Amino acid sequence: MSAVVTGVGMAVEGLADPDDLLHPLTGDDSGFDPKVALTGRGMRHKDRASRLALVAAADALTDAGLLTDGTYAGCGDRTAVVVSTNFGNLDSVCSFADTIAGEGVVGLSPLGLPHTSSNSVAGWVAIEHHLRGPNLTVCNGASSGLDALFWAQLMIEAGRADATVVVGVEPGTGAVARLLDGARSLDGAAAVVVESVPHRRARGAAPRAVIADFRRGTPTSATARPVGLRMDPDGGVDLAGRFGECSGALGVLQCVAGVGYLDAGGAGDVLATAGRDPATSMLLTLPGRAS
Amino acid sequence: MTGRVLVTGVGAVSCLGSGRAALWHGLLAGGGQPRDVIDPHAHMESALMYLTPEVPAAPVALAHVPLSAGPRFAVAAAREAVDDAGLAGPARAGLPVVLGVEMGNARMHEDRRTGTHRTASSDPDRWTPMTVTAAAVAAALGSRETHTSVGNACAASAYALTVAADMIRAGEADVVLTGGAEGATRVGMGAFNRLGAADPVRCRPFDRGRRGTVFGDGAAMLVLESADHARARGAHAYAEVAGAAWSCDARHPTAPDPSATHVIRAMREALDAAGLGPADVGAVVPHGTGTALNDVVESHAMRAVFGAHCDRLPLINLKAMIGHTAGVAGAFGCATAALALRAGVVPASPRIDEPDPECAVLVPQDGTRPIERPAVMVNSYAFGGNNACVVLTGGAVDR
Amino acid sequence: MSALLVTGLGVITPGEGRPFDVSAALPGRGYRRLPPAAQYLLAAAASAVADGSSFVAAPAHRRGVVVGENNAAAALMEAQDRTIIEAHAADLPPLTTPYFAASLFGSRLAAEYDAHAFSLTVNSPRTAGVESLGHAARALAGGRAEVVLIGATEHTLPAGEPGAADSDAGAVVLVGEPVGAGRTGLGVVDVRTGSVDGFDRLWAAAVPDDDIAVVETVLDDSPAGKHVEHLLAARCRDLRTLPAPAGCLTPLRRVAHGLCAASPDRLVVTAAAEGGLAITRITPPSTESPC
Repeated sequence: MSAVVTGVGMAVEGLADPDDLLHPLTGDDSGFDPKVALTGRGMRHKDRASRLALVAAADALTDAGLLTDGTYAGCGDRTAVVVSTNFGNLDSVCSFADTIAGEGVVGLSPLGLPHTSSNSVAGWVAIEHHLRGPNLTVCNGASSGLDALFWAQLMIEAGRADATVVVGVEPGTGAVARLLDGARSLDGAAAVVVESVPHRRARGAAPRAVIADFRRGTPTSATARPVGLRMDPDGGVDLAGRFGECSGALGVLQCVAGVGYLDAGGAGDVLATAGRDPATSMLLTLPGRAS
Repeated sequence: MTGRVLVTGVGAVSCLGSGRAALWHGLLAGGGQPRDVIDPHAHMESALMYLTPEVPAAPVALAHVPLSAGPRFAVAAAREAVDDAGLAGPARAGLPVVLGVEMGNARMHEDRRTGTHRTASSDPDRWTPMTVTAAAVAAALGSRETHTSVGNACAASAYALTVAADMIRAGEADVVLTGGAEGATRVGMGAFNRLGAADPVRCRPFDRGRRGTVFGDGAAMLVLESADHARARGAHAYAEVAGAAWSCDARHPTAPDPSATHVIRAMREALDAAGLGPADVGAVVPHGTGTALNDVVESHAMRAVFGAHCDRLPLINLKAMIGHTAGVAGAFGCATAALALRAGVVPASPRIDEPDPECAVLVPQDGTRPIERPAVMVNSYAFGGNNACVVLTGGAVDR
Repeated sequence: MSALLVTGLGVITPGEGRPFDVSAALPGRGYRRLPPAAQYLLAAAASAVADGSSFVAAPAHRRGVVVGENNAAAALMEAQDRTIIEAHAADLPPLTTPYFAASLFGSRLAAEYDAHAFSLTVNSPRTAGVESLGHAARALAGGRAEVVLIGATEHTLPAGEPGAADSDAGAVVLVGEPVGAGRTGLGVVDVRTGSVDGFDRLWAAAVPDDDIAVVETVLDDSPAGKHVEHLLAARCRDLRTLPAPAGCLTPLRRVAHGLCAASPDRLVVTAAAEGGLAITRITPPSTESPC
């Protein structure tokens, strides 16, 4: 395996550590506060999904040691962005559609037009850190987040990038609530830095986890170690049960939780599953000799 | 620090029986077999251990603290080691005791929880610390010197032995008793079960089918002595502690650093301290626990240090024969190395069903082999990436 | 050989005033679910290292750690054992399970500060905290490190265990370096360990001129403790006695206090009911208080 996870980040209200995804909150006030963190200069003129994604991406890049004083320390030309979101900029699109219905196209602001493009979240992440490698948006239903991690790994292995920032984000906007008929849903983002092994070694960053297996249908363990953490709607930790519908953010959130688990010395491998018929699964392991 | 440090006494209690002779002959005969710990409260998948045939009846207490199996093993092995070294009353009074102890007297606490301990504390309101093993040994020997308990988990007694050797080299003492002792504990076994690191079959280091380690209980003790002091009193030596080194991965709570950078550094620094090179090593007692990652990382590290010499460098597969004795493992490794150097042979490993191709090391299974080089290396590692490496040489080696 | 120069100092005493606030003491991620004794140790180290910046100035492979503890994992092990007895080992919480191995407290500290030289754990009853000073001094003299973080950490014994009521909790961390080169730091400490039965020899080594201004004792009312107090009463003008709670922290705390006191040389003497004895001599850099 020539790709390895080197950083994780989050933007979920009340949560501070990746461990918080797997445990009741500790009751202190050190967690993410969207009222504070999603405001300010850099956040202006961006939809909620983009704001959440920017916070999570910066958190993951910091964790990976790739942000120095807010500036990206890697090679921007060799860094890719993959964003998984199913509802992403639905609010911008709906508001555009409402304007057209009410006032006709003359009512539209040309400045807002880019926000209606489904890749706007990935665009903002790239612009923020000058990441000029491949830029991909995955909108693939329940498996979207895991798919995004798969594509990130594939891009590394194909030599298209040295590092990839993967973001899974779903905004808790009115448009999403209407679409989901009021069902509880996540308002947040998770991010993971996937990096090539030579690049990681060259800069001396610690390897945190390896995506050892990815497949449709339940995977068999690819290592001798037993599965110590399952994240699955039918068994083990059910993130959607706790945070509501996580949609395109689910797989990336699972990855962040899994890395937190392995970091802390959790036993065995981590198996994350999203969706049903077919289920999509990812096996996360501690880095081995080749990582 | 200067001066040579010799091993002039050895004592052991293991699943192979009581005494160093039982240990050595048991190793030559292929080692022991694990059996289930009899404990109705041990709710876990595997409660297998390499258990000593019996727990000594004494000492039952130290001051107000009732003593469980661990400290009793320690006292038995310590007495054997100082007798072996020919240390009588006055010499014992001046003998520092530096032991490596992880769980110590934890079994007494566990038995208290289940209401099964037999000896009541003579002062039931007084604190009963867990790691009283070194103090119990000092009291039993009549030592009026320092007794220290080193707690580096599964590498504890290798760290303790290094401290003891450093004390002699620094001129703080002429003779030091070092080693370790552990009894069976529910918490230790349960935690390894939870960590997915308890093999339900047997301890199978370097076997492709290995599924974790299997603990063993017992004690191993070594009398370390400055060469001048030993010569002056005409003591015989099994071996010399030629060099020892420590390092720390400073990385993950349980997993070894897969790059093995710091494990490799510890081996090289121990060889440097001994004034030896890789080609001088004739056998290695590896840490070799039977956990998936340890054996691969350690094999890689040995490959990095010894190069092609690895193909002809026999390992003493100790944990396959007496289990992983936790805090005692390093002392058992050094005691075994000393006995092997004296005998000049490496005991064969129990059968390995299928050698792990990721472990490119030589684990002889076809009878004893001669040790053809002057030194034996002992590796000992612990959770948290606590690495220790000790290099012993034959007693007669002139360096 | 047994002396070392202290150039940094950090003390954490939870429960004094207000509860220990881990988010404030240890900002950042991965701390909040550590066992309390690990949190105390890291928090004390943060102040010690801020004081004695020479620690992080040394190369990583020359930085060592020595930690003394007796009860750091006692409550955790009790809870683990109860889980095994009443339920099953499979129900042990994964993130804290490895901490039954008490070496992990020092190892966590080593990981925090990239201390690759060694991490040594000492657990002799009562004396382990001050003993760690002696082990550090020997390791420095033997060239095993250039600079050492030396500490003790304890967590309250589980309720119902003998000595639980007033057991030690908190941590002390010092930065230790070789004596010499004209540097003064916070003072010099020199610890000697022995056994209660060998008191005279140890006293002669620690106080060669049989004259010392201030002697503090941390002793319990066991036969060993009373014996040492009796021996000291005959030798000291100014004997200050403190009761010894369960654990090895209080004696090192008194050493830390002694480093901050404007006084000539003083001793801290402690003994275990099981027979261990330690005498620490503290020599301030001058008559002016360094703190």
